[in-house]
Amino acid sequence: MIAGSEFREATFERTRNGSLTDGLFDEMARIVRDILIVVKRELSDFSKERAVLAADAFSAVALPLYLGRLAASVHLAPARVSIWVLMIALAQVFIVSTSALQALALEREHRTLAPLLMTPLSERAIFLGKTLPTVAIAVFQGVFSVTLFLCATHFSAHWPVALADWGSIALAIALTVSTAFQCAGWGVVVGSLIRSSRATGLAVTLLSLAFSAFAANLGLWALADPLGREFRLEVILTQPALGLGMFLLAASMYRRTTLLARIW
Amino acid sequence: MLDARIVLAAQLSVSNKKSARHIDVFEAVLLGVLCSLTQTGGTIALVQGGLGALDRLSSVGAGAIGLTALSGILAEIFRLIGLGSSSRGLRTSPVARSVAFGLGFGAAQFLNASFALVSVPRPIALTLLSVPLTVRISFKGVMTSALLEVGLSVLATRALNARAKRLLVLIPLCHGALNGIALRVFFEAGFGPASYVILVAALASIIAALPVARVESPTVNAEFSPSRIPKPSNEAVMAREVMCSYSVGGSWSQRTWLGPLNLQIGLGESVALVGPNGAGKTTILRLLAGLLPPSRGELRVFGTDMAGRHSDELRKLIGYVPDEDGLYPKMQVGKYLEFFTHLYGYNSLQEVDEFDKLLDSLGLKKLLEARIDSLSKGTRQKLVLARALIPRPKLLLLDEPTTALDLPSMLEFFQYIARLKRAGCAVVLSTHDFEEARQLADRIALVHAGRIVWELPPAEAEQAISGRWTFRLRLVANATQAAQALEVLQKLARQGILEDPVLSVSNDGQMQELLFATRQPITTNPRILQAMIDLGLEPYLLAPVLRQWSNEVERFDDSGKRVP
Repeated sequence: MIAGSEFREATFERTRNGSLTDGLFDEMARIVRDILIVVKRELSDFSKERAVLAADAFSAVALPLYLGRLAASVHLAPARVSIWVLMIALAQVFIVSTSALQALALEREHRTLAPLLMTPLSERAIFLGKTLPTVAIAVFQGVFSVTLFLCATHFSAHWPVALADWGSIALAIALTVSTAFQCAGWGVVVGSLIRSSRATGLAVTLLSLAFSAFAANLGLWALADPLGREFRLEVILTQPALGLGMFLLAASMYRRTTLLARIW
Repeated sequence: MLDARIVLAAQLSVSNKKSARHIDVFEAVLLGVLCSLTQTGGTIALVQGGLGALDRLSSVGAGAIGLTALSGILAEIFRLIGLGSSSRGLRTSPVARSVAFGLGFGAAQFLNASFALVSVPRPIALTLLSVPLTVRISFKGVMTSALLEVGLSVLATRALNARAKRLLVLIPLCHGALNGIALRVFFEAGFGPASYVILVAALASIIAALPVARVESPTVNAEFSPSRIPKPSNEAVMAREVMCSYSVGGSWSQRTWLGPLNLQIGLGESVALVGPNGAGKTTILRLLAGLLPPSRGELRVFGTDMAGRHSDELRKLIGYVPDEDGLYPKMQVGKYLEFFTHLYGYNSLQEVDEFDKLLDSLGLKKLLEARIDSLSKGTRQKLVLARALIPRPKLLLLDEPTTALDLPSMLEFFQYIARLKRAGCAVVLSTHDFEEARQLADRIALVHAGRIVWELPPAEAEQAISGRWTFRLRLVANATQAAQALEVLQKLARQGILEDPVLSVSNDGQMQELLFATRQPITTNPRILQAMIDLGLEPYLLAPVLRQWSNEVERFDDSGKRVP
């Protein structure tokens, strides 16, 4: 208490003296430390869900391998590979990112949120600690699946990966990252309104459907002009904004009073 | 972008003129550099600078101007490399565009001020803000930017004092008009990536505004005033006419009120909240824990007003044992406790004073490797207690803490609470067990319909309560003798002295147990014992099972007044 009070008094003093940023680095270091504590716990919890891990690993491996061989067998033009790359990457992201929703809904159901919110941990640290592992896993799984898909396509059809496809891969990675943030944001927004595990299951299904429609929409764009500038600009410029916007909205909803008001 | 500027300006203009001057200089240098770098960025910077000249308050927003100008530079770069196609611009005249943007942004800024003044809840404002994002920026960024400013404004102005809020009514109108002119210049090159750059810049300004809004200025930001820092005080809790509105079962439509609540607890004192189910004991504890905000009245915990956002430091002073354990079932006990010690800023369990001893006395030390879902209910309760004691709290809130504890653990727990009280820790517990309340509390408060109807020392509370006691009587007797004993009790029941006598357990033919209820144990219990001895029986235990509050509560109406 004394150390904290001294720190805050010092912050006031610095504010009066004009050095607004002094002390912010300590504060940031503390937030990062708090985030890492929550991340560690979340990952440890995730690693115990062996059935989910197995299902995840299966979808990350089986889907791209199957589609890779299929793409090779139908002699898909290299330019069209970009559509498949996108679809596979995004599918993986959708699967994993809905777990952000489940993480929050389960937290609510097990009533584990109140003890967490009683600690000095900030809401921001809890929010980031819970969503960042999901995003990281989603991105890793998306990139891994795309790589596997390209390998499967390459070894089945003996195609050299065309230069144009590298552009698609970069696009896929950029999209995967921004979509993972967006999906995690959606998950938290919906999850903060849900109380029962039954409703969670329904919400996950509906969100997955919505995301799939979104992916299909992207696919149509790609079909129209798979590697065209128009498509890339539109996607590259709007997706990060959507991802970041959704993530910020979710963060703003993740407040002590809002969450606790819905618990009881 | 406006917000960062206004918050920063208001903070600095009130608290520090020197810094404002430094930022003015920085702004001037930045403007010069930007003007020489790029025509577009320079034009925007000049327009913003013109606004700064009109109003000194907004001239310190160097960061915001920098962001806007940076977007100008980026827009130029995009245009130069051919990404910003001019064919995508609006097909209207420059004058119409200028007027439209001016009006649009003027309205948006006016909304900023209105929202800020009526303090629209943040989720609503941000939902509004997210609408254009979710429809993929249908109006190409313009409305997004406008709504972003609304959201930003709400974020930032909630932290301002009344004087700064009054300024917000005037500034936005002229600022909006000038923004419109700037945008007209900005969009001459077309609607391409530039609008998205604005969006990114606006989002970046949210991030820039957050640390500014967090700076706790005593003069500007009432929410973060120094009074919110827990300070040494002899008063742990002070509640005056506190009312709290909360949803029932998480439903927004069904809300119920608690209070008015008046309570004062000093350091080292303990208060037991007793009363029937649904009286509001748990809600009072949640209020004191800061998990529910008071809607009206004054609630201070260690001098900190609990109505707004309270500090992390305050939470370190409060230990809370909720009615639901809230444990992570798949974690090991040791890992779980370690997780919470880290959250409270310790590096390991060993760093927490006497925690090893506590774990030992609670019998948790040998269970550190066990998974939480394999623990019994009593052990889980001990773990919750250990969790609450990690921060060495100065206020301990216990919601029915001993319901699942065995007798040795309960006695150990009583002793531990007594030690904590001697060390100056204030304790508030809710319980249905009068004996527990008498053991642990200096005062007993009867809660009814969300109010404390009386608060008395244990001895006086016992006299005040005319509620029914249920007692357990154990005898050394065979079945026949037990039947005779029951007959005696039934006779007393017929006379209206006892209620519900029942022979509950017949063990091995030697030990018998009788249960009965009475409203006046002081007079009836000696009579019963004497009657048993007269029958030649050996009563070896007479103990209260449960104290029922219903009769005492019936004396009060829902407004807390004694019914004649």
